[in-house]
Amino acid sequence: MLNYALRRLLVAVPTLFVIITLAFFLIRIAPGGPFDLIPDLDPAAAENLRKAYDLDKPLLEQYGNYLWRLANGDLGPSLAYRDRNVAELIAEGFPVSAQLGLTAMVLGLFGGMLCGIVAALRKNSAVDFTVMAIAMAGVGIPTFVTAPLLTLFFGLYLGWLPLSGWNNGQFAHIILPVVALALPTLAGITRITRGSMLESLGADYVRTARAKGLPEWKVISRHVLRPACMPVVSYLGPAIAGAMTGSVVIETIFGLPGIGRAFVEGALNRDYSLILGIVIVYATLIILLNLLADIIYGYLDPRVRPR
Amino acid sequence: MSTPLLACEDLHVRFETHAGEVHAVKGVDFEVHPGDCIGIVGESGSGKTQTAMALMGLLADNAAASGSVRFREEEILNAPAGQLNRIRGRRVSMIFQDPMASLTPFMRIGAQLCEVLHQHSDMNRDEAKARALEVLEIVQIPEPRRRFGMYPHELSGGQRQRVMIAQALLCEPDLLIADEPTTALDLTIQAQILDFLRSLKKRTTIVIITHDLGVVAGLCDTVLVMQEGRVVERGATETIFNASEHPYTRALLAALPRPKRVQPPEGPSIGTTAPGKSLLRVDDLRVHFPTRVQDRLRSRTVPLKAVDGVSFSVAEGETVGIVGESGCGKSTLARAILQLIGSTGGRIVWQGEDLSGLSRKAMNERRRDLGVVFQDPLSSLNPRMTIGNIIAEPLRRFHPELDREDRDAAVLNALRDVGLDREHRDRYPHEFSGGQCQRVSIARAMILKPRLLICDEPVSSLDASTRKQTIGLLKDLQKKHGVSIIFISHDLSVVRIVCDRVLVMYLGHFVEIADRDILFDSPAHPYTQALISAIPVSDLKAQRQQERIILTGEPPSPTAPPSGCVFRTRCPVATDICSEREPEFRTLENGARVACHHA
Repeated sequence: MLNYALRRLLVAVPTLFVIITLAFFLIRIAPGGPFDLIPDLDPAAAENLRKAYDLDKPLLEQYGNYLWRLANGDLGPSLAYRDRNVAELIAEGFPVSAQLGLTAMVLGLFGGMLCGIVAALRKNSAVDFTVMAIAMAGVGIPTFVTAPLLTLFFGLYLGWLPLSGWNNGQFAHIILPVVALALPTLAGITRITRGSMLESLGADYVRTARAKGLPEWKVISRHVLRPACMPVVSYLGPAIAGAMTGSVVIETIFGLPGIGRAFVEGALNRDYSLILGIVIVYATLIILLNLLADIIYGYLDPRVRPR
Repeated sequence: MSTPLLACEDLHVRFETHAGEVHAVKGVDFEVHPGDCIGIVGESGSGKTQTAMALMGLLADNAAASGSVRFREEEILNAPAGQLNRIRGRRVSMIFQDPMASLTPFMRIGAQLCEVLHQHSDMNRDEAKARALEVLEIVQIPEPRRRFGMYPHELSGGQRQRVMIAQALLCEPDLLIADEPTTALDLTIQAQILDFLRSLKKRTTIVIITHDLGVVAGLCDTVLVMQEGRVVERGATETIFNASEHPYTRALLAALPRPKRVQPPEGPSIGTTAPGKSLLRVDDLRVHFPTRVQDRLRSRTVPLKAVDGVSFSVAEGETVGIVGESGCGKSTLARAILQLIGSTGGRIVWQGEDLSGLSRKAMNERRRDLGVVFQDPLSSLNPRMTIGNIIAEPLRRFHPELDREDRDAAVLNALRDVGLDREHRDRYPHEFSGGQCQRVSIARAMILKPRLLICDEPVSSLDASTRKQTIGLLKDLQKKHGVSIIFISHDLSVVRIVCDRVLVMYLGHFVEIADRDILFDSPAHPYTQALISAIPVSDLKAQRQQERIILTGEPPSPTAPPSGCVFRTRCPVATDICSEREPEFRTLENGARVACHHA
């Protein structure tokens, strides 16, 4: 298993390299530059700025320089916040995003599995239909619609929860963003769990377990749940990626100081080094979490365990 | 008369389905007394399995049971799970058909066994483990301690079924219900398991559910025959076999192979004409698959020798049977001949031309003369094509000059040839039964009038009566078109009806090649002898008198075949020379060719 994990991590290096390369050239294709938004900047000063950040050099040379600095652990200076470097900005925003994302994933995963299990065990009942209808809506309605609606209802209309802001991660402030971010994941996992529960409830070995005289809760907990989890685990990879793009939207809507919002602002400001830095963080996270999902999968199903 | 252990009265099982109610079991009565061994026999759909499931409250959600089932006077039909769980697994245990599917794949064998003991006794961990190991010994699993920590997929089919049996025996139940316990197993492994079940009769009362009267013959005292949800005949096994009254029972009996030497099979075999010139010659063919194995820390690639040096030929109009157990390489051989997979060595000479050297395009031209019928009829037909289009597809490829009308006429002809109607043309495969789908496969394979038809287990997935019809159809088509057939099967009784010549395969090698009657009357190779003695036959006396050769163990892995003779690890007559030298084919006086040092 350790061997397998190390091998997967080695493969991740070229993957990251391709992602960085693509991202580097893609943002350069976008029109405009990092200093276009500075008001009343005279052309000579702009030229000086470009020189200061090496932006006047040929693109390939810049690319080579960037890789060289990256290999030395330097993400470079931010082009928009000129007194800060990218590493500092990420270090500032990351805890916020991590808290938001992690809470939302935990809520989505466990909430979704719970709903799915209940729906499957009460198949074709009112509970099942209600849960599945809500899940259907959760899958279908995008985050940028649910987030404002939630704010409108719980923030403005009921006045229970704050509308936006982070306030150092105070509980009341994170409820709405976490719920909005978790909803699509929760809905997706509910649907998958219900389907896989029903499938594994019909398996021959579940009949064997019943024939052994085990009470129903033991049959479910030992012989049904584990195979039912497996499709959920394979869904985790895409779900994590979804939550990350979702957090970009959520942080912007709720005005949270995370890297998602920094990413959006970086894109608008053409802050090339900041965008690349955050892309690297996202890509690394997605690769690591997918690896984790595969390891869990191997733990759940001995047949696919790498030898 | 003692009180019955289990009494089943007027049992009905109904299923709610989208197509309406299905009445699967229609009033079944029977009693099981302590010490009985009862067989419930019927074809698929006869309701035999649903009867057993209803007894133990294991029916599917959409099923409803009515009537009465009493276990030691206690009514248990539709009883709450709590009440049933005092009986299930402890007083009555069950063995199911497919041990791979019926064991939980992600739980270790030991945990699955101990779970039963923890549920029904107050043993602690160590006591439960000791008891589980004891029972694994009883069911004769090699190295029980090692198996205890393994997962089901790491065991062979026969070992998994032994684990199922061990699981059932843990609490020394009063009654053992076995649902098709040997159906998913190979012939020699089936013989081992049946032999073991026979030894269990002294320990416990047994109810066996099977489609195979041959299984019942050697095992049960009483037989119930079920047809369409009803018991149509019941009685002592002797009476059923020797003086059955019901036509359905007699039909089932007739579908069983005759015991050897009692009576030759009905009618001539398919190809009665003297063999013509050679059509196909296979020379020292090898098909190896590279597989990765873990060797301490590093993994390395070793060849899996699926087919390892086989030679034979097929003459015009001849039917050659290839028999062997699962994993012996017979299907791989078929695919290699058709060039559907590449070979590692050797030659395949088709009408004087080596096929393995041909380009893909040139090979595709040769396919006109090579028909093929696969085992699973439904999955080998494209579900989104109509029957007519499926059958016409080869014509579009090889006879593009035909216009629509000619093609339609040819398809209708082909449909008529296989006994299907004109109306079937526009329907889809899923609307047909297994037997009908196999007819479509045969029509598709035969529409170009090929010179060689390769049938890979064409009747294995069919019920006994459909099987007989399909074999009859193949015979008729051969008579009409004079095609040669390679007939691959694990079922010797089918091969005996169909083939002129039989090739016996074991672990990638041929061990015996002989004309049909010679092979069945005087098998020379010890493996052939064991296979033939394991065939369940319909004559009870013969079945009980027949000396059974029960092979020990299971076939070795084709990644590490034994040195010398590949069969020596299971051979009852093996000596030192067998491990030292690979036996070469010798021709015996009666014309049979056999690869054995001792034959």
